[in-house]
Amino acid sequence: MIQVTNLSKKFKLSKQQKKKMHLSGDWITAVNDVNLKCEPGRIFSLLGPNGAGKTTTLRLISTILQPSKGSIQVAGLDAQKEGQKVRGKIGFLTGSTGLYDRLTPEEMVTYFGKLNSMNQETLKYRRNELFHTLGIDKFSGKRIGELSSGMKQKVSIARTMIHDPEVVIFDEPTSGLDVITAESIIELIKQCKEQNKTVIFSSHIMSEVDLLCDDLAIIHDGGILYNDTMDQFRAQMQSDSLTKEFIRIINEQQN
Amino acid sequence: MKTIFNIARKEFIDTLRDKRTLLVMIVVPLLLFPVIFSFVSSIQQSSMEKAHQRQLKIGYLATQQSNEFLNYLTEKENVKLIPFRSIKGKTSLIKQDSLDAILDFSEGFYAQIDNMQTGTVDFFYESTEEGVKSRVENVFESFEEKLIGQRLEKINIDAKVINPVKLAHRDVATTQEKIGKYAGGLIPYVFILFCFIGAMYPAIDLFTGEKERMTIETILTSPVKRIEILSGKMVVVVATGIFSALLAIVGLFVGLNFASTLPNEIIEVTGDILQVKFIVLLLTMLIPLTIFFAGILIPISIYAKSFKEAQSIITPVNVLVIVPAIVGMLPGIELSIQTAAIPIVNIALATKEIIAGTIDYGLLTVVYGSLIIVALAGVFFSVRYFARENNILRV
Repeated sequence: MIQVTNLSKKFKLSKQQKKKMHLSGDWITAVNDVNLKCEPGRIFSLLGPNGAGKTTTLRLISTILQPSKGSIQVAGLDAQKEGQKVRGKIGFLTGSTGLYDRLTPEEMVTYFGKLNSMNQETLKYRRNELFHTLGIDKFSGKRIGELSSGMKQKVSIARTMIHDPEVVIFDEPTSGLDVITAESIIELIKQCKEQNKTVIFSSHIMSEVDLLCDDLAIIHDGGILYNDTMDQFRAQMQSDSLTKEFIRIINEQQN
Repeated sequence: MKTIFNIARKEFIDTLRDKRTLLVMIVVPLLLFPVIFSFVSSIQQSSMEKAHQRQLKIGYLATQQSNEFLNYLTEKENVKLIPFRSIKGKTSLIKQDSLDAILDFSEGFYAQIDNMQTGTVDFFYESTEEGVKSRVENVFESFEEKLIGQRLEKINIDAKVINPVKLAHRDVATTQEKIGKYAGGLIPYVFILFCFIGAMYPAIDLFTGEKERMTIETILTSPVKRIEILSGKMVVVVATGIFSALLAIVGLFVGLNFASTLPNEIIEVTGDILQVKFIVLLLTMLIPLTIFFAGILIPISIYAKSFKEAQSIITPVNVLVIVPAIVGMLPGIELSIQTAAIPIVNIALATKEIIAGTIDYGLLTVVYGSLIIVALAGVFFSVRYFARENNILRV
């Protein structure tokens, strides 16, 4: 489970950034007083336009960033005090594959298994299982730089899931991917739910959210505009489509 | 520790598969000096051979008949004599390469010699033309010796009479000391430079490259401490810097053996320098030096958003490394308590002394102390810098 309470994150601006963004203050608030709860066996979607604060929130949950205020609990652990243990419970997948081009899929996945302190035997078993399921066996000895984007995404999935994480975070996982590759990610998210994992994913694609999520939060300018179940969202809709409703909520806030 | 080992192992594999890093780290330092030395040596040798074998075209005033010196010159050297009625304005022929030299004997040259006086010859030549001056001068000196011998014989005087004092040179400096003094600065310059360059590409690749390829987020979400990530990467940066510096030295010594124009004595001594003691002392200085370099290169690489930006920041830093390394090659600057405390300058000067076999171990301790302090400062700065989230995620 993920429990986010009164979470805020401020970044100090450099002179160049202030000039570029036409801002006078020294700080910018990326996430402001966010509260979220993601339950195991449910898919939580963080929906928002570009620059809304989705990635910052996910980076805070995965302990890459430290909060300016508030608290985060991941799988019963305090993310600020037990960051290393929290990262051991998390699998983090982004649209950009984040793989090492000069390694082979086997080396890449083994490396992350070792970083997750997996023993040799478990690592071998889990790697073989994932490679077989995802069809990586055929190209496991090739350098990642030589693989197609679809193959790379499969390796990325194997890398994320090698240590069988309790919590899986997807940061715009289908961004920039072709339809077939995006579909494999959608399948993975569904499987994670079936396996009773806690799943949080960020997106700005309404159709994906509609297809997958059980709970939804709309984030804009760092603040949460809406946070409820997907069923409740559908029931309260004032527009004739989910996309229009999403835009309506954002516009309402801006006005 | 196991995590640091795993990270370092992966980074080694990754680095050794990068063609650009391999080129800078192994190929360039190993082959640069053999290629330069063999190329320069062969060019120099062939041009010297040509200069000493080719026929010299020498002009002279034709009115001077039965010139004994010219006969002597043609006997000793491959010379073609070209007579002129007047040599006025003929020096331009030397500039145009139609002639190599002109010899203008003074009026009554042989009469002066016969009368125990000094005959003068104006020798026109271009000093930029290799071999002309030395070839004519050598023959002239030999001719002069012959004349002196004839004169002394004529007046019945022993040669010792005109040489009352003889300064016999007995240099007690060994060839190794002389090399250490005059050429020893080149060795530290070479390894300091390649140590920096060898560490530079892995540093950029392992830090800026991670940001550029967007893999930094992947590693940061794994359950390892940031200091473990930094340490694993730093091990690789330091190891490649040391490896590159050692290969450059091997390349330098191999290169010297290719340079056939160098005297055998020097080549033999360069072989003697490569002893266990020298290598151990060199390594013990190289390790803190490379950690210091890594301490400079890593924060820059963490800060830079792209490979290009990292290179543009590091290039001026490279000059700051080269300048103190050059100081080691300047005459008159020696290892003292002050210079031993200045990083890079101290290693350049200490290496010179080690090569010459005249190192003061007290000053060497100061050198180690200074290098260890800057190395620790470099590590501390890198750790602080890598811990800041706005530096690592600056894109």
